[in-house]
Amino acid sequence: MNDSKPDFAGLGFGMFFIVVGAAFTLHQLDAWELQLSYLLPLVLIGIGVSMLVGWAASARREQ
Amino acid sequence: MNTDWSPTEPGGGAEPFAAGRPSPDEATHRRAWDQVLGGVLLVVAGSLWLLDTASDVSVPWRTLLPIALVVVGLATVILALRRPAGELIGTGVFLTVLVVVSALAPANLGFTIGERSERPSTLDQATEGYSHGIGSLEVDLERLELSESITVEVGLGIGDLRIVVPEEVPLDVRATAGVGEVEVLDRRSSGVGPRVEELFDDDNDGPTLRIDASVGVGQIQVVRP
Repeated sequence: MNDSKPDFAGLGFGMFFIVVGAAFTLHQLDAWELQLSYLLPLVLIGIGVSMLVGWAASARREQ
Repeated sequence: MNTDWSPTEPGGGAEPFAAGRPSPDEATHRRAWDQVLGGVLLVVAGSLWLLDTASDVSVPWRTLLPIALVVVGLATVILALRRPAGELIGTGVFLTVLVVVSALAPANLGFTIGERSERPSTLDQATEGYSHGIGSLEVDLERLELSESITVEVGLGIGDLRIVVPEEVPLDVRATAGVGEVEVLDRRSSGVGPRVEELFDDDNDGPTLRIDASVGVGQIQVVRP
């Protein structure tokens, strides 16, 4: 594997998938009640965080 | 012009690969990873679907999909620590959409479309429940004579659901929608994930009529005649 640089956007998205998947799994197992009204703001926050992480990564590469 | 370059030899004439771009070897490696993961996901999904269709086993899709999303998320993080994981991000976004849609859809969703009206006259008919895909569904329970407490489950994917309940019967209602409006007698909730869970006339004597209603996108109305 020649390219061993971390993909920060990929890390952000991966963590977002883990959090969303875990939240919905717990909700379906009745271990935690996920309020659907929290869903859209959480999705916006997740996308925003992923964009910021991607921006930080590209800024770091340019340096 | 030197055309005899080799991607594995950095000094092989003009540099055909810009910095940050994967070499053909890396690209092949990535495609192999994506093919393995995509193949495994498709085989598992197809096998479960077949099991769900061809046997009595009911596959809990609502639970499996978010678990698959966690797995894809972990794979994305692991790969992203060493190289770009763009292809897995696409898979994860697709799975996220499926997870959200499956969570919004009613559990007992049917695949019918159009207007539908039901007027059960016996308790057995009513307790079988009703499901409809897209359109409007009216379930008129006014004629029911309750000799015992029963639960009526009603599910609608997209559209308007109206349930007419008998007068003065104790009611235990659980009505939820993914997006839309829920109106149960004098209680109302709207927006994303509206829900009304309440007892009505529970001080009245007699058996209780329990209503478990859900709509993916649309409106629920529980009314008395």
